[in-house]
Amino acid sequence: MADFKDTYKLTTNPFRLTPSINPDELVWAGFNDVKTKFEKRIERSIRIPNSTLVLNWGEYGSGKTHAARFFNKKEELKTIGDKAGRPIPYSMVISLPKGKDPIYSIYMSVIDKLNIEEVRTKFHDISGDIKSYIDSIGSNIHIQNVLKALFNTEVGHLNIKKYLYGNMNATDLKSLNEYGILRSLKEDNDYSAVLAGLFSCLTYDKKKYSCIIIWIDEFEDIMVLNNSSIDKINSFVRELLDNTPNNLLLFLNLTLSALMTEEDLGSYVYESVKSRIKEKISFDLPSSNDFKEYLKELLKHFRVGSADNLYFPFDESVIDTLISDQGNVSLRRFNESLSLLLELSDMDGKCPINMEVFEEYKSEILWDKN
Amino acid sequence: MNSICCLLDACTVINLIHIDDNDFLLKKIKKLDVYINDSVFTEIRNNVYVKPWRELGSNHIDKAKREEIKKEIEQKLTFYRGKKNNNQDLLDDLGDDYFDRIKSLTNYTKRKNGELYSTGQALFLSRNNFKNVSFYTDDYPAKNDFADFFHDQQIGQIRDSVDFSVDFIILLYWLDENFTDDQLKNKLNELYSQYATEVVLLKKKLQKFRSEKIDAQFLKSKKEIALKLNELIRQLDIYEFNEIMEYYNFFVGKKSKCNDILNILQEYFSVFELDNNQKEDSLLIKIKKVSADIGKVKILKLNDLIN
Repeated sequence: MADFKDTYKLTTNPFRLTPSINPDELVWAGFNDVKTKFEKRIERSIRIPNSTLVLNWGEYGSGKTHAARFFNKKEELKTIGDKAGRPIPYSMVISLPKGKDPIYSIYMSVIDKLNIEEVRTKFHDISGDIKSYIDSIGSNIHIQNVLKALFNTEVGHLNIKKYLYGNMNATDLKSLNEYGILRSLKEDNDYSAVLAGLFSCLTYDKKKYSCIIIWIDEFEDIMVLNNSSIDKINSFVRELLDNTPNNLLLFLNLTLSALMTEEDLGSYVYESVKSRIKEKISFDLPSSNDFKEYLKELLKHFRVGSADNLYFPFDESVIDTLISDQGNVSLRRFNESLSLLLELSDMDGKCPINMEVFEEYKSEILWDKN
Repeated sequence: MNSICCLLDACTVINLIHIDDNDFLLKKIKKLDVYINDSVFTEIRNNVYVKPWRELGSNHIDKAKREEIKKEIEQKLTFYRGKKNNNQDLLDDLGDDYFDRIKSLTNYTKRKNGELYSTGQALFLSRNNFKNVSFYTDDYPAKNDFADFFHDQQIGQIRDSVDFSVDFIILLYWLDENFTDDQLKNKLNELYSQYATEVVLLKKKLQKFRSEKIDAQFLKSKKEIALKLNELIRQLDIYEFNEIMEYYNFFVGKKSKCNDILNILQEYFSVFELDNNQKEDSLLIKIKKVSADIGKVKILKLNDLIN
């Protein structure tokens, strides 16, 4: 069998990669208006000291998770930061927790991703400033002491991580008593306060990190939470925005469905949170032109050498027919069809992929179409 | 209120444990004459931690949280343990072959299980205590297997436990003057969340499987499976549970070809218990309707009867 690269002039099948979690495989193709909206929004948060809530909405497979992962890449964030002449943002993607303790789950996700050694090294030259700054945050001395210990190199980084995870027994806890930490973290108030304090410290004066970006993916799942969890999520978002007033950019990814329209969101997101949504970014179903532009750019990214046809290995007529036959579909479905077409052609050694090849595999490619 | 005698199944008790913060329902249940067969209690013990541990996920490392959850569940289990019988006591009193005789009388062909033991216990309760026993089971075939026996022997009634979770909470509501409308709404909402979360998690796992595993090779050899999977995802997406058990049975039948899918379905089996068996409403819709009717259509308590 001929080599895939030589035959199709592609490094790999570009359509099997969505949404990849390997940063190198995460590329943005087409949809420049959506990309620009995110870049501008992030750049604004990098430059200006304010906290913002943005709602991203679209159907399943429209690219919201991909956007979150793409703009979570250090490389992309550095580019935007450099453009603004500011440091890189501290960014993370988390899924909306579905259990009984959503705040605790979010807290744990943040702690999981927190590299204390790296943070301490980064903040080494301003550790004195940070200590004074922590004294100015809120009035909870216990939380202030926890935050100070987090930045204090005298406290073993594994020790403080163990404390943050809630894994210290009474004997272990004694080792932190001298730093003013006399009890464990327990309630949601503690977790929210630690997170808000941590985010404020990390973005102190925008010196080391220009802002905090949190993407909460699968936010539509709020509809299956019980009332108590819905209350907790709303309070948490409100408190986080209130207590990290300067440098927090919070994206909520919402998948629309028959059971969750934009209007339905009002039943789950309270006015106090809704009123803080500064922008809504819509992931609409792509038009024929959107698909084609996207495809050209995607293939270009994975292209090995040169090709006469911008859609190679596909004939343009195949792409037009596929778009027409599929009707209004999501980007994910479009990718899946092209992936299948490429795999089937590869299995039978067929290239280029023209109308004859397409017709042969049509029923397989559109396998789920009634 | 001891005239209301309920023999509970594992599904109902596990639901009650999971939605009952602060022992609110547990205190209400104390007013009822509740029984649990000891084989059913074993099933409860084996399954009550499945969901909480899954929810805790990677946070399993947090020993304090784990201990807190365990302590809370164990306290509730202690209460329900007090409601369980000892099948050996029944055999001592009625003869070693008691359950074999029940099996024969009911023409039950499967091996002895929780449903059969519970049926035997229900018959004993009705005859010994002069009680009308309501037995709730999430096992549809079992319900059909024992329905005639319950009727002919005038034991009481045998019902679907998934629906029963709603009915049982309403029963607790009207039995207790202090059980408010808002508390009823909250408990129904908790129950809704229990099932709806499972639906969402199952759908997401299947969607992930679909995008990661259904490639050209898969379609060439297992197209029928891919199509069925796609249909199931669509059903879950619109909360359509009518005959959803058929999908489960389909994948059981194709076990050798798609064990990965079957494993996912088994992990979220409670979703398939939502099969409304061609009745009008699924449980989730029933909960929504009942919740919406609270305040409009009043469920009358004793005090409401007084003019």
